[in-house]
Amino acid sequence: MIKIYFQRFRQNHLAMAGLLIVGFLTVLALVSPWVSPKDPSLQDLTARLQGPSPSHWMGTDDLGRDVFSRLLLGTRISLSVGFVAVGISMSVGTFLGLWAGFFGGKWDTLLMRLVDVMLSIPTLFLILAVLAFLGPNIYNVMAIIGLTSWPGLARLVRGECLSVREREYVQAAKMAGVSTARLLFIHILPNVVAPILVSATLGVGGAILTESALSFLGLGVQPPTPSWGNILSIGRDYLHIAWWLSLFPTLAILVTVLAFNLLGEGLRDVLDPRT
Amino acid sequence: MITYLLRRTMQMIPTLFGISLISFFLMQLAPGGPIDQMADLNPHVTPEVKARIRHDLGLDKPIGVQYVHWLGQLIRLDFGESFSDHRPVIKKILERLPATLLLNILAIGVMILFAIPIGFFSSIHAGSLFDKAMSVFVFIGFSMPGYALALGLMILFGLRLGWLPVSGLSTIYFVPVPWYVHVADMARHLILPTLVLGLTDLAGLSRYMRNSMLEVIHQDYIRAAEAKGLSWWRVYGVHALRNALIPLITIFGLMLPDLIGGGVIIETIFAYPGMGRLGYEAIMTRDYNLIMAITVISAGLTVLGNFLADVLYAYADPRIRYR
Amino acid sequence: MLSIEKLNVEYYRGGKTISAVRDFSLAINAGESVGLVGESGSGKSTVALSILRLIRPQEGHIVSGKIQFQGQDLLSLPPENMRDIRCRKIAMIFQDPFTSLNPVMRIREQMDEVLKAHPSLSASPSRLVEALEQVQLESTRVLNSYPHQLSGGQRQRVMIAIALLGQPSLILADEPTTALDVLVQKEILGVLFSLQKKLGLAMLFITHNLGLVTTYTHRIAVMKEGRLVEEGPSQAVFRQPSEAYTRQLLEAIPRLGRSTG
Repeated sequence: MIKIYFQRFRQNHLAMAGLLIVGFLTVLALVSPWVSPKDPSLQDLTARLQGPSPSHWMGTDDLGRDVFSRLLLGTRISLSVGFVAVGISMSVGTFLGLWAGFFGGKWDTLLMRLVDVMLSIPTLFLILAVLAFLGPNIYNVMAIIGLTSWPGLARLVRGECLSVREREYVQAAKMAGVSTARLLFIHILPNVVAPILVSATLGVGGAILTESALSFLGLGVQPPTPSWGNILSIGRDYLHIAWWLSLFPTLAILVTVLAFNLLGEGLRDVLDPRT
Repeated sequence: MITYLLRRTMQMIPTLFGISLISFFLMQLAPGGPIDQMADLNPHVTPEVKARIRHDLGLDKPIGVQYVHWLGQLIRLDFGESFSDHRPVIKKILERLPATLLLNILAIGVMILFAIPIGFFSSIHAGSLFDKAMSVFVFIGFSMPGYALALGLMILFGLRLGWLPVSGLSTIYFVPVPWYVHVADMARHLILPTLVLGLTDLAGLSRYMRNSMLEVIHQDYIRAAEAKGLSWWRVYGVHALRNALIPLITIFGLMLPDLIGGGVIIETIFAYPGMGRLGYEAIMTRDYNLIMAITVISAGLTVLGNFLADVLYAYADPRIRYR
Repeated sequence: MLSIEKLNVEYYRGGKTISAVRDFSLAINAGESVGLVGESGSGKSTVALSILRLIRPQEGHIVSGKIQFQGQDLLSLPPENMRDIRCRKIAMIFQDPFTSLNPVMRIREQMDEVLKAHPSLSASPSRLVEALEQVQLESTRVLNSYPHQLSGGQRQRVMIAIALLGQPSLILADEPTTALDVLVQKEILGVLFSLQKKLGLAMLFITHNLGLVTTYTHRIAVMKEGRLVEEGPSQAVFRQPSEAYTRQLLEAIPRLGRSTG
């Protein structure tokens, strides 16, 4: 069965491209400290705001630091925030969604109301406010993004759980006296995994976008740690004289999020039982 | 339809309650509470003064009582005074709200104006070069950080070409000018922020439109309409389109929070005098009361918006309107 | 009046091209009702769709053949002319009344648009009332209704009324009663065929039920896997089927008192 999935996936060229880019970026993130051509934190005030050149492939920023190396290190930041935040939201969302979907009744109503409320509150604004009060650092960023993106996933999981619960083979197993835990893990969960996986992949892209927005506004990853978002915020100040400070981080974000989106959509096409 | 609407209204109430609860909960999170935020900057404030302020604000009462008090405040839309200038918070918000509403409504207009045709024609020519190109556009739209796009457009239209202003809502004129000059001026200022805000979910909406149309096109009644000898426009532009637009209403309601939230960044970048930018300033100055107020009001607006979307849906789908 | 000559139609399914109709030829004379019988997938609906050229380019295409109608080959007509023919000279009634009417439009609008689309028809409201009376429906209530407010039988009557609006000379009825309950089926067929006789219409009646066809039609044509297998006057085919396949179809009709094998 899994073999069929692999085959179909390989046929989807865009999804494969996404996977390759994601893989490449992950490797890059892991090895970046050893691979970067220059020291990302090395300031050279004599070489401020220089355009791309053979010695600085993507130019320098306002403190003379090499943009390319900073961008490289930023990969690490972005991907780790993305993965951890999604890890958190996946755990919370899946757990609550399964609970509500499986036990139903008042648990279900309670969760759905909670999801409604959380989805009404403007997420970015809330995150900004919380970070302002708790102090912006990378760990808070990961946690808060994770804790504000689980509602969508929870709703999804709960929906899938509800529909699977009503299917005949689950009813049959239940009547045969199978224990609750077994029902959950062996019958329901495998069917729910697919949309969770898709949602998680797309979620990483979303988390990276959010983190970059936060850093851009000054409440995310703090300098001197390089994040694509905070490089862009410097770019904003020097918009008319240093285009490279805006262009390259934007491209980095774009390509990364695009890769995760392609991968996620590809997974959706492959795993969707309707096709 | 009445029962449907009643049910939706009933669902709205617990959600609003939930908002009051969650916001109250969040308030408790601020380490040290609002007192410390206010007082830490002032070295003259002794612990006794803090305790007295605490008592004045009712913060030493049991939490249940505090919550009821908060609820009462919410209903009266009394959010206290802003920390930065001691003016009533609600007044500050009401000053900025119209500008934000204007921006959002125009952005919604832009979104609909482009997304519907793009989705429509993508579905008609599914698989064609146009469709594929639009898909590319959609994917890039999903992956692009909106504020970067704003910056890009600012450079292009504002700085390089000098066509459009990049901040504020109006130019200050030193001599009296007729009203239509003001309107035209406002319009010029609105172009960039509206465009960027509208582009936020444009890609997504066009994709939903395309998928909705594709589902409708395969229905029997479309073929039956063709069998009646109707023109292409009548079949696809009327029969198919009318059906395809209905589920979009719900999707659209789901996109409202994005718009209200995205407004914060965009208003800030363009120095647009709206509620979003007020919110950003409030956060930067840790203006506690103002932050809570904007959070709750934005959430309330979202709930209201969703409710309106539900009403529209009930009206548009005759299967619900006439049970 | 209508003559199908060596029709070949292909469908695209899951990346493959399959032949749905092969070398099919059939003639229908004015005022005559012909039953087209076959199992699912035999290509009978495809024949009807081909006559009105309702097959979408992504679904499939007509490979070859001719369909002569009142002196013209329908398969080589330009689109505008084809639109004139649809519902005006040849009308089609679809299988599922629950999905063949647009759920968000009132019946009046769905009937009116037929009159508006064909300039040769007068767009007066009395035409709608007449059409509905012909199928024994109370016009004021029905015209203002949405499809979901009507029963299956009522909806199918509306479809028949729509088909008659253009005063066509040929009606293609694609399994018009398959989706309805048994008693309602009988009603609708009664309405349909009494109108056919009264107005002298030619009809192509498509079904998988050989029993129905014999009762109501003049001639029967049997299809199997896209090909015409047998053809002849209804009573003759019913009593003395010359093909083994036809015999199998006959035997498959459930009857009281017969032991099931």
